[in-house]
Amino acid sequence: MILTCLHSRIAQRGTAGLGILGALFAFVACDRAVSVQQAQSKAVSTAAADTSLAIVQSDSGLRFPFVPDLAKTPGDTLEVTAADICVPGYSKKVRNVPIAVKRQVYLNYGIRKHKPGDYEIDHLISLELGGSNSIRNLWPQSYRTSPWNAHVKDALENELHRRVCAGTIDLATAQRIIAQNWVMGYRIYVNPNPPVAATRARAHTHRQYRPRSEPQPQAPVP
Amino acid sequence: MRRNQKLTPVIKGRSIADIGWDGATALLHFDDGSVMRIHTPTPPPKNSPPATLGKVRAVRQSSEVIVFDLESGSTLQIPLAEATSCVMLRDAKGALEYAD
Repeated sequence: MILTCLHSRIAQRGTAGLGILGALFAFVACDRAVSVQQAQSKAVSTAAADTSLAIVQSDSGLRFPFVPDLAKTPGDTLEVTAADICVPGYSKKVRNVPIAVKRQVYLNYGIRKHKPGDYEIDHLISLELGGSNSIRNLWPQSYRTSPWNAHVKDALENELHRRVCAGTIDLATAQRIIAQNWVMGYRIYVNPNPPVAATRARAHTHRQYRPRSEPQPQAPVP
Repeated sequence: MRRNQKLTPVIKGRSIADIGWDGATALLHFDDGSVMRIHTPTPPPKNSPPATLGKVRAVRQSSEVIVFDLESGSTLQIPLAEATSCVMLRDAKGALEYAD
């Protein structure tokens, strides 16, 4: 009930009306409500909720290439409803992103050269959650960063889509969750920990991208 | 200008029956009841000539404009507000048929 109330309030205000900081606090508040809710259902102590909150606060410091630059990619949606996106084959009705737009996205992020398989042009709010092809919704997401990368975000996209279509979360809320900080969303709705095993397996086949100016996030100790 | 390969087969053969405006959004009404919404940079001038109507043969699109090639040989050009995310088509029942 608390969760629904908070999400509704955020949805009514809209992302544009919230500052990034305010949105972040609102998200953390939602996360805490989720954590408490989960803790109650699993008869876990209150300390579990506090730990979860600490994880969220550290994730809020993530920057590109793990998460998009919200000034460049705040997220953008099509005028669609849950009824639209839950029809099988919905994504195929949406036009592919033109190559010229993809090039512009790379330029916006200062990426002038890249190898095949380094990045995908990702819809921050995924097509299956009603995201648009606007340049405001596109960013170059790395396949090679660890532990947060394009493969991991796909799992969150699928889970939020499943929940929207099951009616357990409304579309506007799902869009806001993934737009504000998809890593936080992953921890809340998919798994509190990043998929370490899968990331290590991929590390054998892909050289990891390690930006010099950005610290690598540490996987929390379970 | 390239043909829009995804939209052309969807609306080929439909006739544009009417064009209306909702601010800067053009509303193309087809003879089968479907409606296409196109976001444009600005509303049309008040004294603009009536738009060309007819059966669609193909659709071409660039980052600035969408062009409907009609079977009569004439064309209907509508400017776009941005390169993507401006065109949406719903059928007579309101189901989504296409978005860009």
